[in-house]
Amino acid sequence: MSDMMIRMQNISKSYDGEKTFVIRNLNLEIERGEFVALLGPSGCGKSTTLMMLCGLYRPTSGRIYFGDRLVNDVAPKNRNIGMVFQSYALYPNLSVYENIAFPLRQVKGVDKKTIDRKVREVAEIVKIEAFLERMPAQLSGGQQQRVAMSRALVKKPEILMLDEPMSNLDARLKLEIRDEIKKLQGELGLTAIIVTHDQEEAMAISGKIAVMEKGVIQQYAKPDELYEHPKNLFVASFIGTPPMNFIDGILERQGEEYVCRTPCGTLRIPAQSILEQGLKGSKVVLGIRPHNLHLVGGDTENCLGLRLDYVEHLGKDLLLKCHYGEEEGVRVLSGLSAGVHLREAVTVQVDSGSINVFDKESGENVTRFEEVTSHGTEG
Amino acid sequence: MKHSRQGKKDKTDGDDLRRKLFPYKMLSPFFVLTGIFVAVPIILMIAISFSSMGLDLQWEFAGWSNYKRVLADSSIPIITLRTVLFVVICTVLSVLGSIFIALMTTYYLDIAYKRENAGLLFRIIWLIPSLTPSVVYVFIWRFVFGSNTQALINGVLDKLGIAPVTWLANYPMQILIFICCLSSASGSVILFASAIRQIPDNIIQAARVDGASNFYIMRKIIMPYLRWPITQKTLWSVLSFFCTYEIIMLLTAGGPGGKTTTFAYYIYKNAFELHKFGLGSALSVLLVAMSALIGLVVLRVTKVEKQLYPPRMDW
Amino acid sequence: MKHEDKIKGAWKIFLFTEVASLVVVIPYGWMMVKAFTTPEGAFTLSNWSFLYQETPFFRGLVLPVIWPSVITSLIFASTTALLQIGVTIPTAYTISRMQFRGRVQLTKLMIILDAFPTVALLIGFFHVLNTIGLMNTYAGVVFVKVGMSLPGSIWLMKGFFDQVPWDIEWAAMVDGASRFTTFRKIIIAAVKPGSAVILVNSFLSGWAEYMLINLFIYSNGSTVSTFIGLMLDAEGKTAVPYGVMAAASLLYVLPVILLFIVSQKTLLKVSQGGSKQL
Repeated sequence: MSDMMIRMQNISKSYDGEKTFVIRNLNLEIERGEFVALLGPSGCGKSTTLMMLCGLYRPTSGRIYFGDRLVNDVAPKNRNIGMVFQSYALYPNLSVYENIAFPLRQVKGVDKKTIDRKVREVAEIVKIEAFLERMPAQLSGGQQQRVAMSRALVKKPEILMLDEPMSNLDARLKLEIRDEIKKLQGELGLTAIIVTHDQEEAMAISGKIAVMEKGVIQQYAKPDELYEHPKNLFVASFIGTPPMNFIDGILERQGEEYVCRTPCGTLRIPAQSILEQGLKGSKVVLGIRPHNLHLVGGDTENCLGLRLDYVEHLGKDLLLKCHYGEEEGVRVLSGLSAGVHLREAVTVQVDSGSINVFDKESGENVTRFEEVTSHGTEG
Repeated sequence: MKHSRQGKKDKTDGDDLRRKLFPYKMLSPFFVLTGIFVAVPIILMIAISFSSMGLDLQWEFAGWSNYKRVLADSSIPIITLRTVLFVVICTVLSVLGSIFIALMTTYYLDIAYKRENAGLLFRIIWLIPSLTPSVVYVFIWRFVFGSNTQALINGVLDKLGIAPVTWLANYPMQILIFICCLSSASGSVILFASAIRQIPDNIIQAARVDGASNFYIMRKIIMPYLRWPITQKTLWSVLSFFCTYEIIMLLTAGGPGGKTTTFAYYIYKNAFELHKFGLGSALSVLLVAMSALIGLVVLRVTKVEKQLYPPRMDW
Repeated sequence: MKHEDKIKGAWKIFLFTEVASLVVVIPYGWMMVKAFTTPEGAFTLSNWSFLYQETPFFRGLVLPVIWPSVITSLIFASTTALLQIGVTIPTAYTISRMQFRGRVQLTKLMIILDAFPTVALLIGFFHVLNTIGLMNTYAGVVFVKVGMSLPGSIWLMKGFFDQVPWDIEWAAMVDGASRFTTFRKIIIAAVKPGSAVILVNSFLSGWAEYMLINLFIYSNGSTVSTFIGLMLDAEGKTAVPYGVMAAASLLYVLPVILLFIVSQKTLLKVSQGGSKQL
């Protein structure tokens, strides 16, 4: 038997009596000990999915299993989960101590000593022992976040659910808390699910990411796979900073290779790297990451002619913002800016084998991948 | 996953009768209280209106005779007309007056001229009438308009060498309207004042930077924000003036010569002074029918469905 | 705006508002003066003799000592306030935050009931109280009073419950609390300002109640309101000892104004919680 912790089968959810669906036919499997991110823009249904996993919402149709147990109608409290909310949802009328003790007090027959021991234990792990007697309103955002974490962990849940847990923190604190959550999850052997709209956060913290849009999982894969081989235009545009460049082109078969004509140059793509059956027509969109474009002096193979608009300093690298045609922008990541001038033509070479070809009509990726390399993090 | 959890407990989690009954349990105190002390009296009112019940509380079926007597009562048309006039005049005056006071104290003093303390002081002064218990409120005004020279106005007139005027006998309706308006306006000043205070500061600031005058800001920015409170207050005033009887009873007892008898007071008089419970109930049914019309308007403008938010969880 | 304009304009508005407020200030001020003066205008404390002895008032009417009435009024007002809040809170919570069959209809009924004229129900009250044996009891009057004013306070309170964030309720559910436990331990605390508004309002309304007590309690002058009502009945064409009435009125109004000033900040929240709705 597989060690699946969570299985969602054909889940749909409607809030208005099945007139419109926020989640459609969703399937998701999460292994024990995995750290999974539900990633997508606001309104994509990621929070609803999490709310169904924690039991606050019931699916309109479909089944949710925790292990072998069907949990569709199991109350949140009987799911053995801990949850951290975006706003932390600390009980404003209770002290930090009472906030953390609250889950324990809801269980019958837990004596005061045990509660006290457990509260102090978890407070130590999350490093908030010093604030136990304070009220939530007296704490900083980061401290409140920690209290929420300890409240979620105090019952030693099997699954930890995090709903945008870091979106109210400033950038530096975010990195710190992110590392701590990751570390805690590993140490306690938790299965964790995080909902976030921040792709960087998702890439950094989770072993697997489900990218969602309009109530549908667009791609469910490891971070590096999402990055290298996005399944469709939506995933491609959502993952990666600076974002992937998209260039419209017309694809034409010429013997052993495809020739792709774009407004800014012609690219050649080996025939075996395109899935022919995926092509609906000759119109395609080429997706090229900014770091796969390189400034070159003259016109050589696989080059694009662009015009440089301005240069942005990213620290180690420079981000050149260029355009072709009317307004279409292309970003190029480069180590140096020697020999280029603003508002002048530049030539960039494309790494062969780094091009993702999307069918213009369906938006699906039609590139054949040699072999899915996974050197990603293993939960 | 522990398998022991499966079975009975999980089943009850899902289709839990207790969970479905829970809202009704929470509502039960309301149902009991409203049932016994509102619903039953309403039913009794209708039942009694078909009887000739008096103070002895004896049920004696009287058919439509109470209603026939109401229709035959020659004072009813006059009382109804008087009630309508009373309601309209009071509503208009009190709503306009309270908007005016609210604008003065809250917009001009607080916001435009930054005199918050003065604004607060005047708001508290204006709130006093609505906080005053009715017996004291009426006492104060009977004292002001009293007929002898101990009273305020006649005392002053006496000092000036002018003969005392029997204010309440000569101008009963005017005085009644005045004190009803004052107490109602007093209650609404606070409502309008806080509506004005809720207007985001930056909107007023932006208008001021654009060079708008205080009066222009008041007319174009403040007034639109007051539309809903004004609608609300107007409807509520109509209803409450329509049902005013306590102040009338305390101030003039409907007199002199029935000059201040409104429909609501007429019910009170028939029921509790003349002890004609049957007739009083028939009149009550008519009053309820009339105020139900206003209630329906209230219901229309309230848009109940939009104000009931769906619970954001399935438990 | 220029600073000078500010001063000038403020002065005009200030004066205007001040003149307008004289309508209130003069009668109330006059009452205060009268409470401490003889009809001839000399200072006296004799108007306050009802504080410690029976006082002949007018044409054979003898006023009792006022303290028992004050205590009765206090108990009546407190009971009213407690019953009011006790029924309002669970009802308003349920309407605001739970789905159940008849939710919309119940709310509509509530609005209609709020518009219901009390005077039309007096006869029915009389009959009901008589039937269940609560006639001439304060319990009966409290029930009637609270029953009539529940719709309004529930609707006001619903506005406060609407504003409580859902995530607190979610967190408590995940933490293992039932909805009732969440309501009792967490949500009620989150609507404290609303409860304070209802408590103060219904206390004041109970403190001020005259009509229902006058109708359904047979003994005269047993609360402060009916105590003053006794004098008001006597007042008429002839001059009565205004000073005594003013003193009693002042005694009656002062706690109201003090309570209002103390709870002013909370009371002003009425508008935020409830006034958006009717």
